[in-house]
Amino acid sequence: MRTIEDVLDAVTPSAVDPPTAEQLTAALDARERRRRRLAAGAAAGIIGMLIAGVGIGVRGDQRVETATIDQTTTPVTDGRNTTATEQTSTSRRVEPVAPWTRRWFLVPPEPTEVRHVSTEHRFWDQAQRAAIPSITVTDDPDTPASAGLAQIYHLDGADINGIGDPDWDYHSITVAGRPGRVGIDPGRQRIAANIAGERGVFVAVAVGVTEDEVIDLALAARLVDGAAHLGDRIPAGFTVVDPPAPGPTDHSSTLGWGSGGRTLRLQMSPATIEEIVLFHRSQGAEAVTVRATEGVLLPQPGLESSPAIVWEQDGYVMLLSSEGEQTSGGERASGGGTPDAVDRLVAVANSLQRVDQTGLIDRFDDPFMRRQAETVQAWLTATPPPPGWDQSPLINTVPLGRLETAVLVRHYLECTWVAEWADAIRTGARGRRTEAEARLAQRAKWPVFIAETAARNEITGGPELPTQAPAEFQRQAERMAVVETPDQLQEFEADHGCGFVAPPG
Amino acid sequence: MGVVPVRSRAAVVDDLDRFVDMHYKRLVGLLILRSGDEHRAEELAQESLVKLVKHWDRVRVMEHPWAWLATVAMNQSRSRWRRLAMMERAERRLVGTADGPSSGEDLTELLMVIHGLPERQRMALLLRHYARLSVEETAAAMECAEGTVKSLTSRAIERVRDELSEEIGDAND
Repeated sequence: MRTIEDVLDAVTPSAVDPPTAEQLTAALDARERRRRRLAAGAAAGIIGMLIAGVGIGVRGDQRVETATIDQTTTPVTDGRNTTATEQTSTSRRVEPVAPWTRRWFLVPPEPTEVRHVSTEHRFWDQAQRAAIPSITVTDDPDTPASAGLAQIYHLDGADINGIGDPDWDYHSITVAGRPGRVGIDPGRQRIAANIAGERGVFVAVAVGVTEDEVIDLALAARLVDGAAHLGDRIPAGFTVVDPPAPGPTDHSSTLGWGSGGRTLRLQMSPATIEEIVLFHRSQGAEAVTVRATEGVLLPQPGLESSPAIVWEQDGYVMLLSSEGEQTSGGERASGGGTPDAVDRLVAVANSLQRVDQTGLIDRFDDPFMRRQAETVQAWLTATPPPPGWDQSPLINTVPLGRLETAVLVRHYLECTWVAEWADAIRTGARGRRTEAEARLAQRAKWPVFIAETAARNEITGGPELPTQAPAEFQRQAERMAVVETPDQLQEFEADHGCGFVAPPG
Repeated sequence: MGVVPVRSRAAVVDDLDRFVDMHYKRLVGLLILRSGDEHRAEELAQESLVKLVKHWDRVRVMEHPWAWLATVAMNQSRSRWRRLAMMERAERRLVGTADGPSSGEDLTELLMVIHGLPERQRMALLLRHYARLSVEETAAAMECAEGTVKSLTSRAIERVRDELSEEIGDAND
């Protein structure tokens, strides 16, 4: 009769060669060198890399604009501010763009001055809608603070030279007979490889990995059902990060509040910690204990007294950052924040309380949120939609958040007036067309647009739309004025349509 | 506390070589049982050994360096991402769609049984009866009481016995 040891011992391999101490020491040295050389680097330019230079469907000013890929939309940013993503879409619909369906939130323990609440589509979901789901890989799943991290995408129809950031240093390569190019971010040590595929380009963007590895990752990708897959071709040492479990919403939300002269921002994302860390990491990220779990302390280059920390909680990834920290002359921590600033931030994170939606509203010191319905009605009274449009679905589905509410109402008004204009052209109703064009030409003065601009500026910390939107509106008005034929109208709607063209009967 | 004798660097490297030679096959075997994938097991073994090299000065003077290495290897393979990826690969291997095990159907069945065990039962069984750690060392590695180790291994053996339909001798706990 065999013993359990006999049974298990049968698995012991007979033909494996142990590595030598010299080989192991060399492997350790290589790993340490790599850590030091490529310790970090944020991938905040991923969106910009993927889209800003891609040249497909991009129109107008690329800083806040939309690109159309496979008939869906993906935000374009300048790569600096991911939370400023404009939700303008070439396929606008009246349905709420950001339904607030999250079941719980983290809020400060005391009633406080809530400065803003916002929601955004997480980029990765946007990418998935655009049929470019990404794969996240890591070379050390236990330590996201220092691990090599990468994301791999496929972009249909793109060219290796059409994707990239103008500030990066690129050089061309040819591997396995496939042309490509490798880019290195001189500022934050990110690295990217674009490798040509049959239908487009595989892009790998990474921090903490070598040039060879990022090329291998892009080379390993294969197109399956229109998306990049690594399958069994994962380069040695890397593992795929499991995507986040589907939650009740695919939006990330940001809560900002004032405390002691500084502004604290808490972003809650249905993401993996690797994605968030990859997206924000820069030199000197390190592990930190927060809310009894291991998080990552992220430095913010140029803002040494304003650190940020990331941690996972119940399926969401939290990113807490602080701005306007008062330095006390303390020693600068290796993680990028002064020790006292880091301690204060960790203390804030530990003090956050979990509440439901009612609990969140109770914390608002924001009169808008307490008078949301009246405000929406006031916007619609000041700028009514064309006759015949039912406002009740809009009023009954307004999201929680000043910016989102304004965006929703503004989209609704824009789209209904564009639909009115198109219908007027089709039916030859000259007066209706003139009125629609006049209404749309005044968009920059719509109260809802002014409110949206104010909310956006408060969240992003600077003016964005005021200098761009009027010019964009003017361009659109000029184009609308010359539309006369059905073909021209169809072309305009393809570019600027809202997903519906006829007013309800 | 004893005095650690000072040794030359070459001697320390020799010690490391001897230690790796002595334990490498069992380390890979442990990780095959853990992951179900021979190639992945070798990768994990290499990673564990790199960690060993990093801490060798400290580990080599331990009473049971092998227990340290086995614990590191098991912990390294325990993270959820790694586990899911490995399980996926193991599943493919076990159904014979990928590069299958080289040791025949019996091993395939054994690996399936091991992978069917609850996580802590599997860890206790492998550390105790494959890595040959003592009950005390296994308890330390799993951060649990010695009684828990005994109970976990007992249940694991019972299940392996049932699944393999084979009389398997009791462990000498």
